[in-house]
Amino acid sequence: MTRRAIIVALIGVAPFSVGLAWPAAASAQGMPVIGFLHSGAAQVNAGIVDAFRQGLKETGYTDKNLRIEFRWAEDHNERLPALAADLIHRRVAAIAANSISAVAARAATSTIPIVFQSGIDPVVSGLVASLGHPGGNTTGVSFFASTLEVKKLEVVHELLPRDALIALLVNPNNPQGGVQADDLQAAAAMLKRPVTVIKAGSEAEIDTAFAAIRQMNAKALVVVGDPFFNNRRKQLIALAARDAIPAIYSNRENVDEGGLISYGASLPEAYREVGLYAGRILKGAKPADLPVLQPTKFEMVINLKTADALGLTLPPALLDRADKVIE
Amino acid sequence: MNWRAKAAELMNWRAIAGDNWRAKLSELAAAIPSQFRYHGRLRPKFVLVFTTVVCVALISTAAFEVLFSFQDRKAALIRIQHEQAEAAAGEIAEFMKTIEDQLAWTTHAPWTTATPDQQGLDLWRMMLRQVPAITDLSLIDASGREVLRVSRLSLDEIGSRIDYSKDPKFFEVSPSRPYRSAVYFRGGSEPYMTISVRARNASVSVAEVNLKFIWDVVSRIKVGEHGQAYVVDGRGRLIAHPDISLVLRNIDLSGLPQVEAARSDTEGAPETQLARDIYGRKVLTANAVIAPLDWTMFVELPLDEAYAPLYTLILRVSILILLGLLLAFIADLFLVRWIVQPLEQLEKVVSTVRRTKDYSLRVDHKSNDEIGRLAAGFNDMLSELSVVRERESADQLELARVSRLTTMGAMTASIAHEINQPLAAIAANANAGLRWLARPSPDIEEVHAALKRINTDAHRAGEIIQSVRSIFKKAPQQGALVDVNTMIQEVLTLVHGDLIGHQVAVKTDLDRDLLSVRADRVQLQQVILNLITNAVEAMSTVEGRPRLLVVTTRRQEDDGVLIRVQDSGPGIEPGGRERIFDAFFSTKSSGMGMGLFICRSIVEGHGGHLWATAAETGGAVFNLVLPVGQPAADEVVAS
Repeated sequence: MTRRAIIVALIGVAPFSVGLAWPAAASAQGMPVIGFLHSGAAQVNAGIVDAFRQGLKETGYTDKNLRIEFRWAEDHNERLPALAADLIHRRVAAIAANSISAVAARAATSTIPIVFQSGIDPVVSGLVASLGHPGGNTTGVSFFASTLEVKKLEVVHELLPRDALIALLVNPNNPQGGVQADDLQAAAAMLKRPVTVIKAGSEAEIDTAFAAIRQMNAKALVVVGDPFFNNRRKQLIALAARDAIPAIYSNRENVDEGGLISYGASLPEAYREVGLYAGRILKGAKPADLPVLQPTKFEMVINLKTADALGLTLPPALLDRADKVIE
Repeated sequence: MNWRAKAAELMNWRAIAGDNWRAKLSELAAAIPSQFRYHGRLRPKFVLVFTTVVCVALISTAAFEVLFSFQDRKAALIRIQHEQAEAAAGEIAEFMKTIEDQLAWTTHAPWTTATPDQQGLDLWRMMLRQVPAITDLSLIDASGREVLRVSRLSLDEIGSRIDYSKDPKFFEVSPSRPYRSAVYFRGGSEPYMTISVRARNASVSVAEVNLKFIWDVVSRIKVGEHGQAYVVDGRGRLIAHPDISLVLRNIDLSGLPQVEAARSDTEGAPETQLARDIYGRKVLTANAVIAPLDWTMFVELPLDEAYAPLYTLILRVSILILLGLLLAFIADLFLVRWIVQPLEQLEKVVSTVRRTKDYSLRVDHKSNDEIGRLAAGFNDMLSELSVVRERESADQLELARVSRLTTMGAMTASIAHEINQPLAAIAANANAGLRWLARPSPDIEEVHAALKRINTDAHRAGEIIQSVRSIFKKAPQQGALVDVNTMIQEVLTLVHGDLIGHQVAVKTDLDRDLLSVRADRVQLQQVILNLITNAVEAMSTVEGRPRLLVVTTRRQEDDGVLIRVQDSGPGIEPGGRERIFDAFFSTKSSGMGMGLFICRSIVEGHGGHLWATAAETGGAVFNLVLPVGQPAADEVVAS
């Protein structure tokens, strides 16, 4: 083989070898990786993952230049510290997490940026120093969940006769569960409404909770904002329908899937903002400089089909207040 | 001392005393040969002038253009930004006005009942739904007690009876003028303000407005690619910005010069146009006051972006300048080709003609422009000059000859006159003698005396003729044997001083086997001396090449001796080679025209030949051949 032929052969091969080598090298070193830690399960959270990806995309990150490591605790909160440690071990550039997972991640690292979506007050839970100036390695979106519980109670309160009992479903595994129950009971006292707090932290306990509701002859149910209840929404909606109990939820997903009423900020919107913040952090922003975002829009969604099935006639004033009525 | 030595002397400045160096310097300047002196040149002047003109023209045009477009663009951008700021300020004012108007609605009859029922509550809730920016809405009665409150975040309440009579939102509001609180940050993060409106029955409607909703307005304003619009409140706090996270941090911007200037609000003070924004970028900034609120709308465009078209312009202009320079360079090349080169050629020919007096040279340049006509004119002038010079020299020679002939005539007349006298005397005496003899008694005494006088006069006439003959000395003389080589050396010794004076180098090439010639030694010396003197004179006009005299002797085959005297002078024209031997012919203005004539006479008198030829190197050669003399028995060769 002449020298020229060898050179031609080398030139011919070079692009292919580079082309083969490049993507492997990129994913190994060049492409950033972020973690996504959630206390729930992947199957029921496709919506928020899409929203999260959408937020990242708006800052310029897609599958092509960013890899996301998902870690789902599947409602076993005790797994969260190990999952967080695993992500930290993989040296992810940032971790996106929902409220309870964010607490676990925050306990595991004080350097890797954490972007949370928190239903509980991030100042109270110690995630940030203040809303305006988070100060540490965490920031994110706060959700007003605990204050909004009161508004949810108010809605069902006005639907029922004065002395009807309202059940409050609280998750005992959520550190904020006690606060939520206390807030609701204080509001009920103001409204002079008899309420009962029912705790459920597992699938079986939800079934037991509905048995209790039947037994106590509660006329309505307030499902507090909690990732676990959001994950188990199919079960909750089914049981509420079976027992003909009017229920109010935090997230409109519940109503879309057959729940009666929801009142709260948009969860996908919150996750979109988590994605935006994660993108900004990947680009060099410091979590300490990014203030905690709070939703400005709170929507009330009513499912009239469910109301019909329950034999419930909703007052026109309530329907007028609703941002969306599913018929 | 040549110029190099002079220069070396000048270098040794210590050796030069006082002001003497000036004289030395001018001496040196005069001594430097022309080829080493600086010659001014046209080409660099052309290049300099052309390039300068092009550069100055292009750069000044470019500078003006850039300067003016810079100012125009800046003014235009500021104007546009100002308009944007005014429009945005109007929008925000409108936004707030809408809220106030809607709040004013609540002051109408069914809203302001002192004891609201469920129906009233629903009204207020609807209001909350329609105005998303209002988070809390309340009604305070004329005594300052809250009678109703609806909220997005907390429980709605009827008849809380909370006392707000000391709160400015209650007591600072009049039916004609709504109350607007300063901006406050809820939870230290979210910007809010309180607006209250008083109804005719003195009750007050109060709204807590979430100012994050202004974000919609400011984020809609497009200021270039990376420009921004933002709102600052009366205390210099940032309350609206496309990046909401900046607002939530509750940033104090009162330190920014543009904010400070806008807040101080001095009438007629020039608006700050260049500043740094929140991120520290240099920006063009414009602002507008948001009328009823004491807020200021800022519209800012990064300077880099604002001036990007100018950078393009500068780049474009730079390319043009380079192109212009290239064109100037090309033009320069053509100019040199058209003007400088022909001029240089002309100069060369002129200097050659001056040096060599060769009027047959011509400038080889043909074009029909000024330079071409100049060259042609110069060529014509050279032709005319050469004709004139030829005629002039012929005229001069002829004139000299005529004058010599005239002189000869006068001489002949004088000789004739001299001879006439004795001849007349002879004739008179002869007649007298004849008369004395013809007497009856011839007087022998008298005849004797007459004959004696005739004799004397005849001798006198002979002497006169002898004296004329002596000029020519043509009489062949029986000379001695002469060694030619020795004689030549003697003559050269004799003219040594003359040769040095005329800076003539001598080269002798003498044949040692030369035989002696029989000749009049003095006459032969005269001939050689004459030839050498002629050669030296001929070379006196030579400049720039060596003046060389070559004297050669050779033994001829037919027992003759050849003497050759060669110079490096201008030579003799072929037609003049025989004429120069004519009597009274001379190429020298001062000569009598007799030298070579006499030389030839002498040489021929000795049975030899004298003729002139041209040397291969351009000078003249005089050849002299003499027969070898046979020595007598007792003779020795004289030296």
